[in-house]
Amino acid sequence: MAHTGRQPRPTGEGGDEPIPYTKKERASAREMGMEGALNINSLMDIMTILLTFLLVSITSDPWNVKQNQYMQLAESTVDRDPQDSIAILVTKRAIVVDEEDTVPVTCTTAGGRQCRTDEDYGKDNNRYFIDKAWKEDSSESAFLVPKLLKKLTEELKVSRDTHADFNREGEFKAITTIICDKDIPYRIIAEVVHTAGNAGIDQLRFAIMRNSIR
Amino acid sequence: MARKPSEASHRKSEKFDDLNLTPIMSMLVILIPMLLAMFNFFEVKVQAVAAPKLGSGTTKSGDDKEKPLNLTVLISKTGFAIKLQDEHQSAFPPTMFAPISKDVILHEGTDASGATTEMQGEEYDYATLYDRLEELKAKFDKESTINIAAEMDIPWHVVARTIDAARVKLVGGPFQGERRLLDYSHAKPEMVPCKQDCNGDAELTADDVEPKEMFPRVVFVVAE
Repeated sequence: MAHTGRQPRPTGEGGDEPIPYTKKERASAREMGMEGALNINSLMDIMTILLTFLLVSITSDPWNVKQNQYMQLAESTVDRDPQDSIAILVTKRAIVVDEEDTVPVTCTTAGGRQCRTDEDYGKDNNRYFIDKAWKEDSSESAFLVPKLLKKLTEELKVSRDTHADFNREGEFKAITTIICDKDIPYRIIAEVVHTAGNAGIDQLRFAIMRNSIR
Repeated sequence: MARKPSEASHRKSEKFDDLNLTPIMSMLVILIPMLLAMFNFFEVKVQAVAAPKLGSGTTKSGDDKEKPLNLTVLISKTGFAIKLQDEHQSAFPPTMFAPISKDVILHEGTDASGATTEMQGEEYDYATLYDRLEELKAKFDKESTINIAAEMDIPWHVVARTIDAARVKLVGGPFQGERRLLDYSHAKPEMVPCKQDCNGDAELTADDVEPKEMFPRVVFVVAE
């Protein structure tokens, strides 16, 4: 057979129909959508599903703690799952309940200057405390923080009412999860815990970042 | 006179091209890594703690029943100290209650690049604290409560690691020598059979194991 230089005709997707070569055939193939660039529709579908899944995961996870220079969780090997509870976020700037800054946390550098910039907050040996103006009787030694007490009492009432409205099984448990920055001093923790106790919360949980190394 | 050719007869056939998906794909390719970066790939767990007691540190006397152990770990800027109810202290040599000072010791830390590496530096001696607590647990195996008291400016991460040292019994102890903190840090908990199904397969088998607890009940104490 004479060699014409023409390659064997490749077949189409199904393997049955050879891809046409004549001008007329190519035009008809274009209309049928057989010719052209890579079909990215399937890839688009995958990407869209992935994007939706990620958006749902991120927005629906209540324990997705956003870590930044004001909030870094401590590490521990503890293996107890968090449960539905009132969350108290204690960052280097404020005590946050129900996404509302309830009580500010004051920060001073080792030199006694008030922290202003992110760089100040990133320094070691900073001192964090709740100003006495926010404490009971404006006393330095007091552990009760009235504004936090009011907010927690309200939150506890909402939680109790929700529990009753939905007729959930079992007795209502007043639990709080304290999500605390790793550099927050014991004094602030004691103040938060004492105030939570006064609000009627009797079960305390501290959120930590799980690590296999203790 | 030459006339312009009729446009009607040469009009290109109106044809709808496929939507160009390439820019949308580019956008998605950027969005997905961005969302993945926002998502935290760490597990958040919780440590249960009982409410703090405000008190002077003294205990009531004249109790007919067996006196509680009243095990307390005090965390200060210089290290740890262990205290027991006076009646129980005599059961141990005085070295048990000697302060556990911070030590220049090999430990894991992060270097300037953020990588975890072994480094020498001053650190709380959690390994020695664990050894002493394990010794106490061996003597008072029914006791499960530990009081944690800290100086007011001790940061939370030190308190969390102290609670971790008291929580479960580890394999490989006691931890001594230059590398004690590293050995302690990597030690696995001793596993014991569960009393009921604990791996969620609805039946009690040899696979149902849990870490052996030492002092799982933690109470915060604030000394006035």
